[in-house]
Amino acid sequence: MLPENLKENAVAASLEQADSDLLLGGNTDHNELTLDVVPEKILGALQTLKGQRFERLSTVTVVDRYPMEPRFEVVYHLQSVSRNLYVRLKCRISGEKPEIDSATAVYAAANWYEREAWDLFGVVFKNHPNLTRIMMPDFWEGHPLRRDYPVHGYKYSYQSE
Amino acid sequence: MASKLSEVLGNTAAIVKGLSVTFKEMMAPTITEDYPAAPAIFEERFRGTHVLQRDESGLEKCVACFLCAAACPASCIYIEAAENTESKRMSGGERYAEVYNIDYSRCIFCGFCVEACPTDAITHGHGFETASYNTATLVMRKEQMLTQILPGAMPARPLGEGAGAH
Amino acid sequence: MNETLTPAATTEKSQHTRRMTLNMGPQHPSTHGVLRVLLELEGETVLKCTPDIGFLHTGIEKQCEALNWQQVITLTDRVDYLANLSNNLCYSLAVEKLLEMEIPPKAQWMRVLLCELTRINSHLVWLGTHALDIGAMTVFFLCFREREDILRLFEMFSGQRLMTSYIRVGGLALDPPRGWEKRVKTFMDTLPSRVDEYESLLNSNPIWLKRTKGVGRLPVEEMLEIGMTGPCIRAAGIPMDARKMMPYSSYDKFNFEVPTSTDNDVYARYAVRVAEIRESIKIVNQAMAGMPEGPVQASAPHVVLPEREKMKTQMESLIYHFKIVTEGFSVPAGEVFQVIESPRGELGYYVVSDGTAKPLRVHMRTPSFGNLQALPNLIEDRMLADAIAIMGSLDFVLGDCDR
Repeated sequence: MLPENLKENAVAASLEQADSDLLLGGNTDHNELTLDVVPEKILGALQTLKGQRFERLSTVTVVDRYPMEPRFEVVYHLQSVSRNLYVRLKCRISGEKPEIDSATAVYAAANWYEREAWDLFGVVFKNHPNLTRIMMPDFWEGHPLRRDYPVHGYKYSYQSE
Repeated sequence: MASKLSEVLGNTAAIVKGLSVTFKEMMAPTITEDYPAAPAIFEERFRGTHVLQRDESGLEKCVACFLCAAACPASCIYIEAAENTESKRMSGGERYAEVYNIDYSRCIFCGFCVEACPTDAITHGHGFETASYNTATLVMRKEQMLTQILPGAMPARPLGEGAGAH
Repeated sequence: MNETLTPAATTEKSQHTRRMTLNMGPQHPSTHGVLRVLLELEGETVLKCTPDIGFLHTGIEKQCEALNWQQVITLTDRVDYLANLSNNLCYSLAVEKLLEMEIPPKAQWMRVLLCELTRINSHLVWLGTHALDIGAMTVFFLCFREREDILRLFEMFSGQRLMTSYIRVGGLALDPPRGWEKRVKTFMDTLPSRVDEYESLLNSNPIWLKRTKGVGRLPVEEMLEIGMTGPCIRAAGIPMDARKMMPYSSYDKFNFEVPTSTDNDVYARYAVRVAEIRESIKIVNQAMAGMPEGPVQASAPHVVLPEREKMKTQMESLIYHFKIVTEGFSVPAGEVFQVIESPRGELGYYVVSDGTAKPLRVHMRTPSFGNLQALPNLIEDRMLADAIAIMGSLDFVLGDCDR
């Protein structure tokens, strides 16, 4: 459902028009449009926005809200160069089985960003062409950017000396 | 054939032009520094290895408030505080730093400690030759960083025991 | 390549040439950092290219979560080591947006001036190393001569040549030093003639032209789709520049052009960057001429450290000083995506706060990461020698890419 304060917003209204079950909420804090999207429908949302001249995907990242549930927020920033607009899409997914559809089918740029998100947070992007580690070495265990992973790692701790 | 000739001529002209820059630079004044032979030149604000300052009576300025250690993003400052007594007075305040170590293998020279210091005790000097083959030698002690009292200098009031011994 | 110079035997044999896998990097001078590129070659043609990054991954985003808001500035310095002040600025702007803080005009103009100096610095390093890759060594020395002057200016302002930490949340770290106007002006007066000098060495150099013109083309739509930004996309004809599109830090009060080209090759990227140096000189001169008077730090006693004079004489200021240094300041809960134009392209900081004294998440959308992703599209089915020119033209910094 589209919240009252976003009825006037063209981008939000167009998404609502495309699929009325797509949006969970949103806000325009700090003059930035944030839309909460149902995780299962993220591909549809991206497809709709791409049709509305959002030519490029700026970044895909994850925020870990541990120990809250749903734990992970997958955050997409899209830019429309011709309309000079940014929009932020957000999907909340559980920490039990963090899975979401890969955006590579819509935006090729998502490839490395999703690999990075998988590497550092352990969020699985379904149907990604090559979901392997990108920052950490291939043999690495764990996902370092999770909140329950210590800053100094497991192997060596400066603090405990 | 004519195009070949013009290409050769064009290339020759380009080489001559390039070499003219070389010869011009040969005559120009040198802009490089003569560093290991001559001292390096720094700007006034250069952030080098730290210097611990003394006040006008020769006492240490550091009062062991731990603000520098709190401000340090690399947590490389280690302090142990001790109380000043009548017989042993090291600093102007109530306490002084009995141990003051900076680990230069971690220090990033950001200057946050200098900003944080409420008594201007810690400052950046212009020292920079800290490279070492052994990281254990990179932990600097208070004695190594404290400014020297020049021989023959007369303090405004009598120094406490231990102050200025180094 | 002049075809008459290629031995006929090689072209005939190429039908039967064995495929070869070439490991370029991680320690290779023209990968500009620790980048490994796996190239599958047939003869001299690149069939497949797989960039392997992550050698410089230092976990900066993770470390940000362990430091307080002001201390993170020192980490942003270390993201892109050729554009430190741009990273400082982007992070500061994001946090200031969360704090809803007003920055005094002098600080804003100084920030513009410093960021444009950073842009000149970064483009000079790029031009020097790119020309060196292609074989023009003199340009490298000339560019680094001017870069030394800029680094001296940074040292004069902040005390460090590279890791400046000069732009802080709430303004600048220190007042500009005495006599800075004269030093910057002297440098700015000499720079235009120096840029002419580089151009005179390259613009009509036949080797340079043959290796750059018509090399590294990619359709504009594909470039946008794969996430390329900055001078690369402007050389393809799209005037995409955050300084014009969403002006930050008073950029809307400056008069400058966004250089573009439609040739979309390595030469066009060179031409756009050199034109950008000239535009930056214009902006710096405007900033010098119209520098407002006033403080360089916002009046926000809960965030900015008090003046040293006040801190030593007033009890209240001293208490604030102790509070800010030991606890840091807390930032209202919320999230912000701040975009600025770094020398390499779109630099975005996505900062999330949960209302405490440390960030919940700092994500850096770095231009090198996006540009490097396009590398396979750019160099597959091209000659190996062109791959070097194309990689140079992307101007990536691996520290920026791996974070």
